[in-house]
Amino acid sequence: MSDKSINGVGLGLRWDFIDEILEKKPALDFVEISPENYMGRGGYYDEALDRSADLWPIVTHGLTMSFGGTDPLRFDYLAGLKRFMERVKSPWHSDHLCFSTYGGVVLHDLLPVAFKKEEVTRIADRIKRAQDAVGVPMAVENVSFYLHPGKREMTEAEFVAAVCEAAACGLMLDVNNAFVNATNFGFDVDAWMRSAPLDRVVQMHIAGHDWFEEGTWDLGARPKDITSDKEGRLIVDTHAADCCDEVLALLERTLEKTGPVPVLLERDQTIPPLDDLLGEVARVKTIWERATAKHAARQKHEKGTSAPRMRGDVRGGAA
Amino acid sequence: MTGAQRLQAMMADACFGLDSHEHFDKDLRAYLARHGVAKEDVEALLAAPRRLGLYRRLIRHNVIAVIDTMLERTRARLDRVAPGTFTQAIDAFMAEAGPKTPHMRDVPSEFLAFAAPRWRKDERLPAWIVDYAELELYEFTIGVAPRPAPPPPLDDVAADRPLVFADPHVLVRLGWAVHEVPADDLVAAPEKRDTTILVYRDAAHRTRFLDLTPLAALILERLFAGSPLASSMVDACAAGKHPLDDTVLAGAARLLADLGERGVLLGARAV
Repeated sequence: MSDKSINGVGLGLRWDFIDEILEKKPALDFVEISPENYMGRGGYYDEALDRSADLWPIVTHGLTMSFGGTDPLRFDYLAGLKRFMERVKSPWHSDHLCFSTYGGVVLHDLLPVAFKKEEVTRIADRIKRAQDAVGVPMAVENVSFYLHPGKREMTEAEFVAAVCEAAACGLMLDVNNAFVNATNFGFDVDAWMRSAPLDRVVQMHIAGHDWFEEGTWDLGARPKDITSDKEGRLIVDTHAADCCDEVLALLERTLEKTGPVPVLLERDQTIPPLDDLLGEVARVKTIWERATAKHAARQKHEKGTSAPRMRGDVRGGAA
Repeated sequence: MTGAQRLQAMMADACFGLDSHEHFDKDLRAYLARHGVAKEDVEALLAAPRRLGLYRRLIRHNVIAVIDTMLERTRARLDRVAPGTFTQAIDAFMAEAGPKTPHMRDVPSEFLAFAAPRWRKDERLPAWIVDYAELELYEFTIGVAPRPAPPPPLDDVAADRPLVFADPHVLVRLGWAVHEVPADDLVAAPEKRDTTILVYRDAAHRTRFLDLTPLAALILERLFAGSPLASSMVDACAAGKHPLDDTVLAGAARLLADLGERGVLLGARAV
């Protein structure tokens, strides 16, 4: 499957439904996996990965690179990742713009970094070294976060843009994360998108989220009006619900700007029956087709003007 | 330390520190000051004073969930005889060691390596609990052990040849027959008896367990180390103070035939 180009709408491959999906063999544009779940592993799921690779193109999305970490990069991990990338032939690898290690300890979650100028240079250098070690183009994902761990010298979107520019890497644009952060911190997500480096988007993520009561962190009800009625509540990026209408609308507006980039539906908790999940993939695909058609029509209309630099820079490996 | 290192050290401690939440809940400013967080960064963190607690909850949940899942039966037995012990061990693991592996699946093994010496010393706990936990964890770790390399060229089994076995496999030596304890019986205690279990993965990727006699364990130990069949038998009998008689030879033949049927014994290494 390595020669297949990756675009359209894919699904995050999860063990909860791997038997069923391998049996049904739905026509997915691609699937995404986390290498950490397969590297150095044999047995049932390792074999299932081979069967998946026979059916769908695979892209990889890591969890523990810790691009924003202050611990040294773990070159044993990078060497293992390189071997794994050679096996699954993902055209790029993405991981998160966060830290997940400190003092030799792996925190197994995504913690935010401060949006500071000095951090841009430091993190970009780590991304470049990781890219050199793994040997495929890298993309960084904007994460959902719940606090600013330090003084902000720029907005998140400006920080993401600066890091991508300095590292000459791609952007894994998580549309849900942008929405979550905008809602929790009260900024305009469309303004965020205007500042984000959309010309560097290699792939997008979309997912669902849940509302929680702040302090108790118990699951809470969604406010009737999320622009003014969310006192004491915030969204947590659980990947445990269907995508909400606002996030799907944001995806559509963003795709109209970027044109056709692959979109991946993530679902990690309270996973519904596979048919429901595939139904959600189909809904996202309808949006994808509508938005990219609109983008193409606009491109056609603007024919003769210079096209913006798009993700091909990264996907072609020139980053 | 740089400013970024101070911030990350603080957040790591907030998430994994034993009682950090009590400190930052009580006085976040003082907690941040103790970690040397710069004044300009302190103000940003004070703007969302309860959010460190959210990260603590999210991160601990991830680690606890994987340990609970893979040591479920051990936890149930510890919770019955000494409620809170298992949770305290996880808390101590996070605070004093923490996961070093990027692979979530390997976290329970790191946890057990940390907890086992403590549990062995704890007189409130069953003396067999570490053996029980180790065998429970092998069920998972053998199931996910790396894909084996292709075997070398093979011949028929012969006395003067080393034998070739399918990976993954491991000989687990235990002081208690914990494999005989019914999974759903939280009260049953195993017999105190030196036991060796061959744990291997079958062709359908299931983890399988084979209770070995002491002599069979001695023979396999040598075969797994690469000794030829004949010398493995001689050395094993000498170590076990057992005559190498017809009974032993017949028993060894049955053992090897059984291992062949199970797909564990592949053949003899070709010259």
